[in-house]
Amino acid sequence: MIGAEKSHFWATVNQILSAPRQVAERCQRQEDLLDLTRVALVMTLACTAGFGLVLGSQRDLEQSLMAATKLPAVWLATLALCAPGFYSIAAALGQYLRFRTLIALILSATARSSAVLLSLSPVLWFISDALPDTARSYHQIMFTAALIYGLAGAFGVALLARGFRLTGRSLTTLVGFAAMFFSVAGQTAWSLRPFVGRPAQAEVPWFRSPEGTFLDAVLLTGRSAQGHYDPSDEAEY
Amino acid sequence: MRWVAAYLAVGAGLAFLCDRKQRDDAAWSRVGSSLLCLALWPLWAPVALLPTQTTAPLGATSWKDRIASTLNEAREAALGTPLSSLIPNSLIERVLAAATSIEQRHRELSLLLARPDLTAQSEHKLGFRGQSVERLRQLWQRDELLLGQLSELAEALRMQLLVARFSGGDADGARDIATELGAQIESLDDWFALDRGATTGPSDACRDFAS
Repeated sequence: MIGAEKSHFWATVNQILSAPRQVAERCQRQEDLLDLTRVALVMTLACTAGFGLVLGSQRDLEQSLMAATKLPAVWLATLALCAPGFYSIAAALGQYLRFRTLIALILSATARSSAVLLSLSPVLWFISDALPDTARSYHQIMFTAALIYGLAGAFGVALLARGFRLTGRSLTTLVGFAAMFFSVAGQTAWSLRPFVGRPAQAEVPWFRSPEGTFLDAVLLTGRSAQGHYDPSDEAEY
Repeated sequence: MRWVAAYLAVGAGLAFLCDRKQRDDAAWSRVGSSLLCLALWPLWAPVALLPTQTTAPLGATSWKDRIASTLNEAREAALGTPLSSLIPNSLIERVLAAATSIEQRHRELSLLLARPDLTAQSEHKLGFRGQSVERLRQLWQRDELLLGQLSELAEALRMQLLVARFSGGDADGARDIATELGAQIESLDDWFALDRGATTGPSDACRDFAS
């Protein structure tokens, strides 16, 4: 019985990874959604925790564990906050999806993104290992992590798009979803930082006090990664 | 801290409901579901607690019910007028019999195709098994299309009969649609006869996979 459950679990994992169209159809038919959602949640938790371990490993084990705990929380909190908004956007733009269908669809898309994220974590690990332990490297690592997030997100969007009816406003719906997801995820992550820890800090706290917004941080990191690093900016944020 | 307590209190309430709803499931499944509900209720509770609704059109329990409702309205529109000859009871009965058969098979195929061990294979389309799953998927899509076409034709016939009745004009449009609906049913009858005569029809494929 346990063997059969295991095999069913891995078959669902395989379906999420390699058969996005089938997953989207399964969501639309609302068949075995509990099982699909359960597997998607486990995948999301495990893969984002794994990526968090690598992200925090630039510093020490404690930081790794901290990031491995906080990163899954960021993803799941973001989805929980965005789900009603996603439903409203989809309904307003002519995608008549049931709420439970939409939840299963976005969780499956997130699980797929998380798996891609984990698979790209060696890239981040090599970069963080190769770069010297300086303030500029910190921003370069953060920038690389953001690029990996973007790439992983594209795989999730590919699954999500298959769940929509093909209309003239499908692209608008996807853009609306992406805009909402990235702004909420960014701010949630910003509120739960640090994930890596600034090189200048001897002790990294579990949570940093509120400083600026997510958008300010993106602009600062972009400038710093391009070589225009100014320590006074960091003091400000 | 108050927010965390409130969050967990809502989660505990929903976990209780979730457990009650799944009381026929295995113990580990119920515990897992309740824990997920407690910790992640904004995501888990809608999936676990909201009722499953079929893909049938809004306002009807199934395609067949919707088609029946549309055709009955069309018949009422034509009742007591020369137009009633365009929509005899025999035509309605045949359309509904066809819709019932297609819908039943469509439902069986839906259940079969939802199995993850089958759907993952069809993505690759490799080997006999993968090709057979792909064939089942095509049958599912064809049935969906047929149900949609029957529903659209019934709707178009109803509208044409209403227009002909209230405008007092000729009923050529309604006649054309009734003819098309009849032809569609003829072709479906032929198709079902072929299905029944075939040695390896979809039902056989279903049995192969179930074993």
